[in-house]
Amino acid sequence: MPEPFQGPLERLDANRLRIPQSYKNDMRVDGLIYANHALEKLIKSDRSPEQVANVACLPGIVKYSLAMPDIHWGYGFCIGGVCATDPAQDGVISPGGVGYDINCGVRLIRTNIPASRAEKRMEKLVETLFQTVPCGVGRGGGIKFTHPELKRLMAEGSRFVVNKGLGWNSDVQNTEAGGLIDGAEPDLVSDRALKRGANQCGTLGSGNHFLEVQVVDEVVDQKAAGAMGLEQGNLTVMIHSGSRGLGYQVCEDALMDLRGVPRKYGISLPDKQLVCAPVESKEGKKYLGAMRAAANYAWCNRQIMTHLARQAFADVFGVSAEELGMHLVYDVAHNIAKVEPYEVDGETKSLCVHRKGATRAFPPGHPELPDRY
Amino acid sequence: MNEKTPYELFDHTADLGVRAFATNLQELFENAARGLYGAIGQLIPADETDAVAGVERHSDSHPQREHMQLKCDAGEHALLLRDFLTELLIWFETEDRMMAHITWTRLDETNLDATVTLASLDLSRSELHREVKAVTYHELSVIEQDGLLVASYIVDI
Repeated sequence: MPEPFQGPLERLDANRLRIPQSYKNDMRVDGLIYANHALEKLIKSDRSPEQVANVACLPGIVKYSLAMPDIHWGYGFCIGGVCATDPAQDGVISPGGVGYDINCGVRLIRTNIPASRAEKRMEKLVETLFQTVPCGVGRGGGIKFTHPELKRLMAEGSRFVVNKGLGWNSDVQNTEAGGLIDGAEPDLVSDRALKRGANQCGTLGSGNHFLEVQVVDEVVDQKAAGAMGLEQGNLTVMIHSGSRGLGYQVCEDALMDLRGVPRKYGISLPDKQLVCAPVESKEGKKYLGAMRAAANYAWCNRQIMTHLARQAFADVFGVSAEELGMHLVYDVAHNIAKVEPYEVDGETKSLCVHRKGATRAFPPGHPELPDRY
Repeated sequence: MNEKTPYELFDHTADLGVRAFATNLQELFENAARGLYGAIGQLIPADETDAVAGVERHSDSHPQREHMQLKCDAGEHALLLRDFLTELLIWFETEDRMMAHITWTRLDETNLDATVTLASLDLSRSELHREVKAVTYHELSVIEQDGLLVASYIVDI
């Protein structure tokens, strides 16, 4: 069992804890953990607050090293950690702040099928989903792409697979960033990563990844639910997966490439797992280009599984996925680094935001959301 | 630890840890490899008539097996071990092959040079329990304890 955190945790209000910058000499900002009293004991029970403090030591970090209420001990960064760095202030990019499963994320698909109507077909539905959507340990079985096709897929994102008939146009609109993060450089993805990913696009994997048939149990915001097409008592499908072996290898390659890099740039780190490079350095740009390519692969992976899940539903219910109303509600990443504009002390800055096991929340009207949201 | 317990698996938050034991460095690396395969499941080479789940010590007499030269360099034993295990993981994932035998040319603080004999897996007889995404740097160590060498590492699953 990990040792409990012994450092300072100051309660700011009912929902926030602070690790003061004074806790460690190298901390550049405070740590800020969103947690109420009930969660505080749990959060102290492992070393994840120590990891929040360690991340606060990264060059160029802006304002706070943040942690969400469900943080737990990860590799270098805690899971549930968020860190924004300013490239203009020698801010760094760290693969550990994204994780091995680049653009691991979740998508929700609505249906107009009342759960009551599906009850008798549920066993058949689950069996059909198992047969249709490849899942399990390390095996392929997805749609096999050649290496040149994989590179196009990584350059073009969800649109690439939708254009191949593996989805609907609306799927692209309902995916974060339209299923395409700019700046992807597939040529920076190693042959080994391509090999690991060649037959895994459209496969779920194992571990905590899942495809679930769910029911809308309760609607608490009728207006929002209406906009998303969610109705109480109807089935939904949730898919949780990421960039499979391709993304794992992109991370692996980066961790290897960056081993000596912090020393080169005079960066001292409290934990080797925070290995990093300035965003604007050639090493930083190399990782970002490959990471973005892997992120696009992950969106394609979830897109293909969406297509396969629709096929399974259509088979079982005997009508088309369109008639079943199987629209994508939204797809959002939780392991990613993106350059995003933020106002900091009255000045708009482009920050490199690492999210590891942390999901971005978009307000209504945000450019990355469809208009109806 | 004895001959029958070359490694053990232990829980780690959402992931899995492997602890390997040996009396010398080469054996430690081999047992750590056994641990990696053990974390993945019960792996059986296609050319084995008996259910051998792990790395053989002496058998290298199968003509259909492939011999691969493996070289790694790193600044310390633990990093060298991680790199070695990562190579095995990738062979497993991309080619469905496992290390059946290893002949060491060099293994010291900074360098590993060996010939790895790879056997194809019999997927119909093997049991795959977990997908190992990576051998991480987290809590990675090679230490001497009570006269034994002990290697610990966490796999991301």
